[in-house]
Amino acid sequence: MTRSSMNRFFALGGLGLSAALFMGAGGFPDRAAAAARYVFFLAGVLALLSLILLVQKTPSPDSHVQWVRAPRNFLFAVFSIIGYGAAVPCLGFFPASAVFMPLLALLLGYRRPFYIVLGTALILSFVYLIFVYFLGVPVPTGIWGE
Amino acid sequence: MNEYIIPAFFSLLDPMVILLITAGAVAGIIVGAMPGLTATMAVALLIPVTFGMAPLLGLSLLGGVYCGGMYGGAISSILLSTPGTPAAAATAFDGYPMAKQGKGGTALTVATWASFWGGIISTVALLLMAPALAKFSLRFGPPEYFVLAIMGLSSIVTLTKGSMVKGLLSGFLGLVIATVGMDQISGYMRFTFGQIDLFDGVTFMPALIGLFSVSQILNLTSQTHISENIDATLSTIRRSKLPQGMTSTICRGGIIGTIVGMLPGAGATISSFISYNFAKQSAKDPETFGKGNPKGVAAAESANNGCVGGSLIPLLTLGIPGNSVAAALMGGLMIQGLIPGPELFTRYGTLTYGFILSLFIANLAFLALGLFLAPYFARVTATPNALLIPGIAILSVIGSYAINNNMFDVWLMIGFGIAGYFLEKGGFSIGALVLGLILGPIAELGFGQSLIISQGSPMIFFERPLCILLWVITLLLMLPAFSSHLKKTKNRVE
Repeated sequence: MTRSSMNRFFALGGLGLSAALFMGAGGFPDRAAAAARYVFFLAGVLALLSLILLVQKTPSPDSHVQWVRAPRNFLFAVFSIIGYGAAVPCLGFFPASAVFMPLLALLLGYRRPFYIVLGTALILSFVYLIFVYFLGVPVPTGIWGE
Repeated sequence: MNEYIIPAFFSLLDPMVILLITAGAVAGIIVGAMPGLTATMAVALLIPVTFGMAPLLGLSLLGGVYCGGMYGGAISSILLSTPGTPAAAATAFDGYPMAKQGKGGTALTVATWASFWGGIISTVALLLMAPALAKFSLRFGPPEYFVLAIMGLSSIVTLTKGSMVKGLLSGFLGLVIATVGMDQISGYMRFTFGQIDLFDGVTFMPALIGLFSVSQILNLTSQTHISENIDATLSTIRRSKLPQGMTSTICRGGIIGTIVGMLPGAGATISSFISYNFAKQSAKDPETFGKGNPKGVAAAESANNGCVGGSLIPLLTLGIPGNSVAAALMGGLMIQGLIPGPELFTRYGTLTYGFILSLFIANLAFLALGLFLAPYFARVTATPNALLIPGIAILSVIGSYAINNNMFDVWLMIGFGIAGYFLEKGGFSIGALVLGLILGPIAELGFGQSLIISQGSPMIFFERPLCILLWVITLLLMLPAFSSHLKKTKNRVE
């Protein structure tokens, strides 16, 4: 994707968001008239700035945008984090973390099992000590909880 | 005053007081450095502990936590681009690039000294000028708050490195996101889509963790280490010195922090952005800001620690807490039977001045701890990214969850992180977006309340002397940035 087409993409997104805000604020009741005015104002400025971005000339030469420099690692990281987020309520925070950390480290190409185990143990002990032991944060326990 | 200060000073010589202040500072640094844990949370949790203590011991412990917590946010902000506290968000703009250049130790040294002097300046103001400054803070009404928010928003111009249009779009996107949830004036629910978790709006801390931390770890997937210069050994990091020419930046940051800190609801985050803006606009090399200029770290850190003393000014003199930590501290005072107000400086003068003087010791405690531990903290940047990335992800998840004990915030954090990554790659400013998120509610509330007071006339924002002063400062801050931007555009066209 070139920089100019990316700008057009973001500008159209901005215009779409402005339109959604206009429609949303139009449905506010009378008692929230001030809130609606504020949203209209924001939507108006957002639309104006998006229009400027749409018509603005990109400095030549129009370069390509490199969204991701290491696609494999990037995708591993994104999907692992999403999977980890989904696993926490089911497996519980500590078991899910104990699986997530070594798995992602391995996927990212780290091949030193001792440091992976040590790192996982250190992070999880630290989290337990501060969040659970001292501050009493009720971390998700998943299927192991009551 | 002297009749209270001398006995107060001697009461602080008790080794138990020194021990508790140091323990409080250590606890504060740990809590501050952990995303999701706030000094407010730590102070609130420690209040029951202080119940059985002598008043000075309990208050000194809480003061230590407050000072340490405000400083601790800088550590993770600099080393991992994960602000431990919202107030440390501006610290990451230059701190993290410094860490990437192998100057993490220097960045931490700068942050430690700047936090120390910011804290000292505000504590001196608290000690000597509290009653007069409290009266000044009462002159801030809704119109002044609105213009103050605009002054903060003017930092967008400063934070924007590339396209000004994209910078402004980022800031307005932040303002739009801040409108989600209940309208503070009418109580109407906006853009919540029936989702109960959004009724109070987009929770700020998960959004911040996502935008700064998750987007950064996604960036790190293409590198093996954070620091491009991992040869820096412990001994070379230990030799990190405070760069020259920081004095004016730190003093200005401390004063800005004190003034903004004493305005209820404004707080350390805004002050650090305003201070950063001032530092960049007054620098001879503004183009180096955002790329690892130590003055950026000094400006943000001196201002956020400057808020400590500032927020206690209206608390101790008027019983109005300047921020949420001060509100929690108010609980600590009241549990000891101390009602904030003029009596604190007369009937309980020795105790009150003892507490104020203990803040000096707390600043000294985190200074010593920070300088001693900075080289060890800085070694984090030498850890392989393959281990750091899952580690930061775990801290980001638990940090986002711990705010409300809610998984929704975790998904919010992940969403903001992925969106933030692509926005940044597209040339948008994450800093400006965060600024919009922070200032949106303050600007909207100030705007709405002012128009109610003036019966719809916008002239209220231009008639009051303080508003005029704030507008002038805002314009002065924006002019250099706009003129340099115009020059650049002109040169490009030529």
